[in-house]
Amino acid sequence: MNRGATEDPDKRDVARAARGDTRAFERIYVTHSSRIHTLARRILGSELAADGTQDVFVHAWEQLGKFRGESLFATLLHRLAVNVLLRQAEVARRIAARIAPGFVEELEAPMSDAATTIDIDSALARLGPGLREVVVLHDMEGYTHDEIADVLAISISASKMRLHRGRTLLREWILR
Amino acid sequence: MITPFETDDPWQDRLSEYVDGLLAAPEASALEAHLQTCESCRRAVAELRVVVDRLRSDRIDKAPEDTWPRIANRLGTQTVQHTRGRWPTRYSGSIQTGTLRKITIAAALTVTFVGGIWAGVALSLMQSVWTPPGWMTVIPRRLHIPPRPGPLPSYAADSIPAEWIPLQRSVAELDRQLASASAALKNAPGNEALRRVVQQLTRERDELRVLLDSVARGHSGIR
Repeated sequence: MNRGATEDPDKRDVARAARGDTRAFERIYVTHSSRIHTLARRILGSELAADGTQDVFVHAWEQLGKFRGESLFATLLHRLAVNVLLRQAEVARRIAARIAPGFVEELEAPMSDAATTIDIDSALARLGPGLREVVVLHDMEGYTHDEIADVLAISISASKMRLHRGRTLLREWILR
Repeated sequence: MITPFETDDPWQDRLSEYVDGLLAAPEASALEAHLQTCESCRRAVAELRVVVDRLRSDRIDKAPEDTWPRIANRLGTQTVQHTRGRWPTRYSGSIQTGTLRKITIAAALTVTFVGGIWAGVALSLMQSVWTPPGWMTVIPRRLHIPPRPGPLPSYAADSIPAEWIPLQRSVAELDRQLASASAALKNAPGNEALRRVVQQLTRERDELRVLLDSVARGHSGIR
């Protein structure tokens, strides 16, 4: 985003927090915690969202010195959050796969009870690796395919394919 | 029941792009023509739009109340790393104004404090260790007291009362010491201690001369 067009409302607090001012960082937290916690719920699920939010802000605290004001802090914080949460999601998946090897594969399996409908959270939780992230980032967080390709280190066409596959599964689970 | 990925329809994989408006105009026109005749694709497009709307209208959560205290707790343990780890990169190019101010104040306080200690130690050492030579003997201060009121002796040397003779001799002695110190200072012009001694002797001698002069003038009737 063009810095000259919009003055970053977080700039002052970020500068103070970078010098160790935790009160300034608390103001940053108050401003952005809802968005970050919502993102954490979408990527990690409700049970892990609070821990994910904590990790995002602790990482942000550690990285404050790297903020140069070239982009809005909110944008960088969101990108940092996506990276941190995706990493946690991957770790959670590996743990789940180790504990119950068939668990991840079963996620995408058609539901046995055709009469059952599920909410968004449950439907997202059922999306397999790679699909959930793309659906969340594109349809819920407003990322473009270019940005998703950059974040997930995949091609733009792969991003489009995953999005369509994810949406199609959600369509089945939510609207049956 | 909807059964995704079970059709050979080439448009099935492009429906999301169509919903998002990402298809080029010719492709979009061709797909719209297809939708006129394909009930399955038409229903799929409608339902994908519903799914996208649902996703986009997802609620925004508030973080639990205890999230910030927990974060703050973790920041307390991270503060040292925070400062140490990034200091070289953050301040490699320039020092922030606040930091520069703090450094300046600290430097000024250090110079003042250390300078004060140094000066005190130097002066005490000069007074306690350094012993002035004989020619630097200074007339005690108590001799500088103003003359007592009353009739003063005559200015003529042979008529000066005996009580003023020591003062006259002191002036002569001071003149002699001053000449000696001045000669030594000429040989060692950089000797600050010697310079101060010369100044002190000059001051003492001049004060005594003024005193003696006033006594002599008073004694001879000059007003």
